[in-house]
Amino acid sequence: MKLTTEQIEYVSNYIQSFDIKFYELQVELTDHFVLIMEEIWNEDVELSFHQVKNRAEQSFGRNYFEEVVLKRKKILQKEFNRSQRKMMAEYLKFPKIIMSILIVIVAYRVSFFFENLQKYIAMLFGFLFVFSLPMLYLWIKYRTIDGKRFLAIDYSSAYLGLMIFPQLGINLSNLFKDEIQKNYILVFPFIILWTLGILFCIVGLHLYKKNVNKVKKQYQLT
Amino acid sequence: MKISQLYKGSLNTIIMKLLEENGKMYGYEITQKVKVITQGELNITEGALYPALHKLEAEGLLDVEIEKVDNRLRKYYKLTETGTKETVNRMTELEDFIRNMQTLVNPKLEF
Repeated sequence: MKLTTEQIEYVSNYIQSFDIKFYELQVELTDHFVLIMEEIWNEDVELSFHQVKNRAEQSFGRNYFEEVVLKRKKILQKEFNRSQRKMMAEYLKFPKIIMSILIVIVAYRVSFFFENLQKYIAMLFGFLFVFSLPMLYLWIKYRTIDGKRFLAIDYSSAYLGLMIFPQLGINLSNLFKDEIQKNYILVFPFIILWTLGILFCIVGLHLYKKNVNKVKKQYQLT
Repeated sequence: MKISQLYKGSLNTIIMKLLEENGKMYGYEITQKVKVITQGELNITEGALYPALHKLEAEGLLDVEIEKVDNRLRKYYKLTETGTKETVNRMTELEDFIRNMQTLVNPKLEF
């Protein structure tokens, strides 16, 4: 027996009541739950809608919905980290490494114009904040698409991860400010860290856009 | 009906093989197909199925297609190009594993 539109909507709300905020999971779990209900109803047409729903719920198990969200989060996080590492590694191999080396050289050459190296390092990492603004903008823009939230998009933003670089850079430069001023070569590790931050930002932006486009295409959203 | 430890390690390969044979399938359809093929011997639970599908999708082996069916949306899974190639590799690996297991369990059959 097929469920009516109202009954499907009821099931969808029931699924959402388990704190399933993400649209891709709402769609998948609602469809599966409805199919199980229809199977139960076909076996015993005398059952009421709520009896069928309760039996379907027993088949799923009450903790199932939370578990599926947790497992999906873990999978997406792991896969995002893997893709990010893979893309970052590309910038440390030929030919992209040329660009990475150029960034390091330019940043190092510019440091010659600064007497206060700690100030220069702080400026570099401050620039990283500015450089991350497009990522912040996209993160806010695509938190929902057509009012729908997607776990696949939530877990592909590297914005919060990127913030580690300026914090680490500025804190370390404060810690070693006297040493940096005395020993010029110490500016070099900071430039390397800053370059990694820039690459992290480029890779993060690319992966985020790629995932947003993929989700939009899959769910035919604009 | 069961899903033992022995089957768990092969779940991804089973899913990929089914998708290779059937083109695109949705979650419930996969559980039912496995039940029919194994005559009810193997029951893939939702708790095992969806994490496996999501993992294969995240790895780029499966793609997703959404269709409207019976007044609701349905999420279909299908193999990507990489997924199709990987299915062949995993099936070869699984066949080798079965052959080796048979040899170990029934050593007298091999001369």
